[in-house]
Amino acid sequence: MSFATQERLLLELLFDNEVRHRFINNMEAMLADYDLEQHEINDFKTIRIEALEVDAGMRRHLFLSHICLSLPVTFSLFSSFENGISLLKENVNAELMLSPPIERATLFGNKLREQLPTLPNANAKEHSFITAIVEAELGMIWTATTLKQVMLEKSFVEEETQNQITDWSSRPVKLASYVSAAMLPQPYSQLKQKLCPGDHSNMWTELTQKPLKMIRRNKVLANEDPRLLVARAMVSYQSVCEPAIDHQTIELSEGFAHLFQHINGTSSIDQLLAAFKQAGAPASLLNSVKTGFKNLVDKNMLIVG
Amino acid sequence: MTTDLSQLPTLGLGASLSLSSKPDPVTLVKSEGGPQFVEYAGLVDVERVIDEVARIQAAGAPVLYHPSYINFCGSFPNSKTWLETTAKHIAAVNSAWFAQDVAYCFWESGHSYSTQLGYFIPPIFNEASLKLAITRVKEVQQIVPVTVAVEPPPMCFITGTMPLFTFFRELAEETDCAILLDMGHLVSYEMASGNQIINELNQLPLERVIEVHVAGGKIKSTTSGPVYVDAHECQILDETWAMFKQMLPALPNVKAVCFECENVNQKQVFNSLHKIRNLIQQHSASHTLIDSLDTAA
Repeated sequence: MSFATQERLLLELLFDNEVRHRFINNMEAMLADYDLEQHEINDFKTIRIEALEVDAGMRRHLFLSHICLSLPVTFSLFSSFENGISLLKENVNAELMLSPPIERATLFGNKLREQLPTLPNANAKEHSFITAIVEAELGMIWTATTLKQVMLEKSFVEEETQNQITDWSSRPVKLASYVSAAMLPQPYSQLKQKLCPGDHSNMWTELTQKPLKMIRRNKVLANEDPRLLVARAMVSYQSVCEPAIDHQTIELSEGFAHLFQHINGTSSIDQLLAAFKQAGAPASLLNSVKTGFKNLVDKNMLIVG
Repeated sequence: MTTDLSQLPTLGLGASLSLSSKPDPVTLVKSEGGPQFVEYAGLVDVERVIDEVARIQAAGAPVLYHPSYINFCGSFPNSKTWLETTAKHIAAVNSAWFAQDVAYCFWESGHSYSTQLGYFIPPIFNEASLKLAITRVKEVQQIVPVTVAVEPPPMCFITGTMPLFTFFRELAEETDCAILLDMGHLVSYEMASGNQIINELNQLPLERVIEVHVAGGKIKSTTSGPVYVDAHECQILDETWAMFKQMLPALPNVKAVCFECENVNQKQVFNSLHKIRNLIQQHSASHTLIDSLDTAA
């Protein structure tokens, strides 16, 4: 009996372009490669090849509609390249579909990150901006996935909260769990607004019909207003089956990126500010930085030791 | 047949709706000529839908829960946790029975919704697959507190040589479960296989069919013939109406006919419900179903 082989082959026919094309071009030879008995081989001879193509195409479209929600700006930017939509489609394969559902968005995003150097007609600056955007969205996926995994393993995740700590700035601080930080060329909220207009639930369909124009990409990415995107994954619905995870975000000016490197659980914000002052920072800037950190503490993105 | 399906309530003519989008289930239920019950494909956790369900029930309509995350076939078992959460969901909303397509919703790497595979993957129609489907259905029956109904899924193509209704006869009889027939899915089988449902009808234990679905669809033309695509937001196809008319006289125990109309405009919903109601009155072999329409009117 080799029903497991039949199941595997069925999945490959639906999600592996190469396997499907071999099946379409030479069914007999392709099926002979699998460890199947004759009656099991016959089960696949009932497949109408064109109908299989229709099914595989629809299935890939629905899957990408789903995964697009986790990587909206990345998807939009990829669509603006000549082979972008094809690249996104080709990344749906049997290997991905055999991976745990909870990990698929991360795997898909990682694959896109690897493919960034192959994108044609983008200058070095655009490449670095697009890389930063992919990294930021991947960071959020990663924290959400990790939190979800912990939630499913333990059934409950206690939220790290802290109430009105008056001496917060004099105590050591560290990043809270499930927090990601990424430098972006512009505020993430603006990038989303400019590059992902319309109904997000229908975004993949819209991108396939009307990909982002290269000229629009060039124009949007030409503006520089760098921001540090800090995002904290939070359980918005506790469940032993399918917890829902949302992100709380704060966007800070680019100067925070350097300071963030010193947030390690041993230094306090007052110590950081003292060093900053010594380097010649004016009082107004120090106040603004302190307010930014206070905001992070209030939103439980920084944990006071 | 040991399960006494006659004990199940007759729900009449209903609508399958998305709880969070148009058309609004409560508006439909409260309108003249609206659905007598509401079916929904909600999330596994009942807390996420209970407020909407309570609104529908307060408007006077019972609900049926019809999810899309149960493996009723294949090698990959359902998670006990998901099944227990499902059982809690069914009990909380008082769903009279529990039906879903016999298809793969998730692969071996973890329980999930069928959206993770795009949508349902139909089973391979052979003996080995049938045995596993029996195991999967029994696995669900052990935990969910109500009658389980199995439904042939929509399909673009067929894998396997066992006729559809032979597979479902064996499955229903071995597990002593009920059957739900979606008219569009039967059209999809005819197009995918080249077989005619009418020629297989004698294979199916027709008395086990308790629910019928009617829904919109699309046909994609290929050089080797048409391919049916399940698309609830679209018009009900002539082929589906014809299948409905053909099947109604053959199904004596139907207790619910459901128009799946997520994202269909309200006027069209009422027009279709009206047409479905008339067809039931003219062609159905289920007297209790016809009587329930009269009562509702």
